[in-house]
Amino acid sequence: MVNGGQLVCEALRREGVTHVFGLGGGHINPTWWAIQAAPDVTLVDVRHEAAATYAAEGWALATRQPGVCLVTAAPGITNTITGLANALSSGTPLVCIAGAATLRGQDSGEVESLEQLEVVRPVTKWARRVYHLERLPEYVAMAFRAARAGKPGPVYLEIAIDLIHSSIDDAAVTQPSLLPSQAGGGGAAPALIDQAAALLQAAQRPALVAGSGVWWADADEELRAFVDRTGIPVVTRQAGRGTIPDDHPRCFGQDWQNVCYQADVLCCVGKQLDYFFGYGRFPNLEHLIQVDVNPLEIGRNRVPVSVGIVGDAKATLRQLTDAVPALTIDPWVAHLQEQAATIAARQADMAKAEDVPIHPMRLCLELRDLLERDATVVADGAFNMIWTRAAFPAYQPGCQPSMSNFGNIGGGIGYALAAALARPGSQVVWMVGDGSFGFHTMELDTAARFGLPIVAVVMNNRGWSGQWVPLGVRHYERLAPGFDGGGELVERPEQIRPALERALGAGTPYIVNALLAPAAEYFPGRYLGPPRP
Amino acid sequence: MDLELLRRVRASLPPTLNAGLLMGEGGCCILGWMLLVAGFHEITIFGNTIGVVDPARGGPATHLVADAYGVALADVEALAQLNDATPSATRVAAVAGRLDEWLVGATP
Repeated sequence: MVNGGQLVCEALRREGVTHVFGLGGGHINPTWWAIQAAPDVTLVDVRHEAAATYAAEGWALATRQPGVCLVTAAPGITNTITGLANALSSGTPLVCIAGAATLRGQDSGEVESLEQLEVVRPVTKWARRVYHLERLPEYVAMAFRAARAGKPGPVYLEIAIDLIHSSIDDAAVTQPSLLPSQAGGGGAAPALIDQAAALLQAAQRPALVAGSGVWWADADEELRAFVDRTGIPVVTRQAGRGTIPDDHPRCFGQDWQNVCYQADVLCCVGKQLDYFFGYGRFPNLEHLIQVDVNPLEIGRNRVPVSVGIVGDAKATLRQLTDAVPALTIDPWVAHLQEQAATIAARQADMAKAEDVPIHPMRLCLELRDLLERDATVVADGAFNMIWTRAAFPAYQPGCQPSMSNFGNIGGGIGYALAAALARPGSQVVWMVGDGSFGFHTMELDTAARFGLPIVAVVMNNRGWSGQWVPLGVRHYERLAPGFDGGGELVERPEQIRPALERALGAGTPYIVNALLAPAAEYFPGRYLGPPRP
Repeated sequence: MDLELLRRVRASLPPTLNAGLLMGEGGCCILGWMLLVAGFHEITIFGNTIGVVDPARGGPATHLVADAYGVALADVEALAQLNDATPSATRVAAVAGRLDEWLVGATP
């Protein structure tokens, strides 16, 4: 005989799950106990259900596999909503397994009773309740398929407490077939590839945008092959960051606005035309080639698309590599390289800034010098993300998880926990604003309990940046001893590097509380249009 | 040139202007301020350095300021560069001076 919790655990193991992020509760005990007993699954118990969803999302962003969170009924579910919504916005595969009140106790005033499916449907791409124990493995498999299928996203599966505690004969359970971890997908019709190739060859200022779809399709190698063959300039966005390293000679990192505003032909692969992409409207664009696994993304926001390809990034990039020869665009590339050099020079000037309070770019560049290529840098907040995104290059995919269009803050510690578990021994830095730091600080306790030496760098400008609401000087570094870690206040430029070296070498969670200049000067270089003949 | 709009900008210049960022930490560069006065929402320019993020009328800030105010693009670019190149202590005065030149030059 097996109970519901054991069936869930076994179904997760069959999917290859090695880490489950959760917070216990009476409605999920059998599942909790089964996972605790499983030798090959680590149960990471966090301090708030929202953090469990962020960590599950972070696991997916770090490993390309769906993250799993396990939460209890009612308040356990309502606490996940922001994290689920964030994953839906970013298109990140996440499986949320939840407890629920009894089936027979509905409308009886039972504790922790809520119409949970109604609550989660707007923030998930698939939500179901299991009614029969023998079908539980089937539903877990369905959940994983739904999370991965097409454009990935969060899914939700709930199992009521009376069902999860009940048992069934092993022989009555049929195990479902599994999909490969990367299902893959088809490419484009040859005629569309020919059209795209013709546009790219005729372009004077072509560019490629690699979005999250490149990461989820495992298309890093195909992207690199296409760029190497054609010499097309490329920028990366969101989960696509690092799918080609920023120091590749044709990669212009995160500087998408400058490149896209100047391009005459743009090839967008797996990047939705959303807020963080200027809604896909660019002043000098003559042709947009859009590749996306989701047909609904093609031409979103009524953006004119010259060639719309509904296809998997991996397969389509292979086709494009075969179809497009080396492009003759040396002046365009030289122009972009000149602009990139100007920005780099201005950053280098900022790296010497002796301002007190500290210039944020000085802090970021001092840290950049101390990080390995596989370091994870989590940007979390509002204003501080400007500096973090500008300062830290992405050398590998899955190393720069960031918040989505949803606009939430404070969840970055969940990403950091997941990255530290996914890549043991690598550097993990949580670059967090002082406002955002307050949301889930207690997850530093989770880091301590699991031996994860996450460095929290509080970019402390002493206030909420959005409409500038002051918070004043707070000694967040004094929290560190409570988490068995170290902490220090950094007020002057010369204190930055020694503090960061101690933090990165500590082997424990560490808080560097850096007092930064509010409204610091930023000199990125203005957009002045494409090269003029 | 939209003189009425330009006069509103000149009359309402904030006590400080930042460099480079259209809007951040409650402050704006001159382009950001001109965009706000012209009716763009804060979210379309917050945390951005060069562009307006709007599904209907987004694009480079320099282009949109030029369009909204009826000013030559080259003049807007020069204004932006003046903003960024001037030390913060004298930035508002320098920008105000340039706006005055525009207004005087455009007044019949």
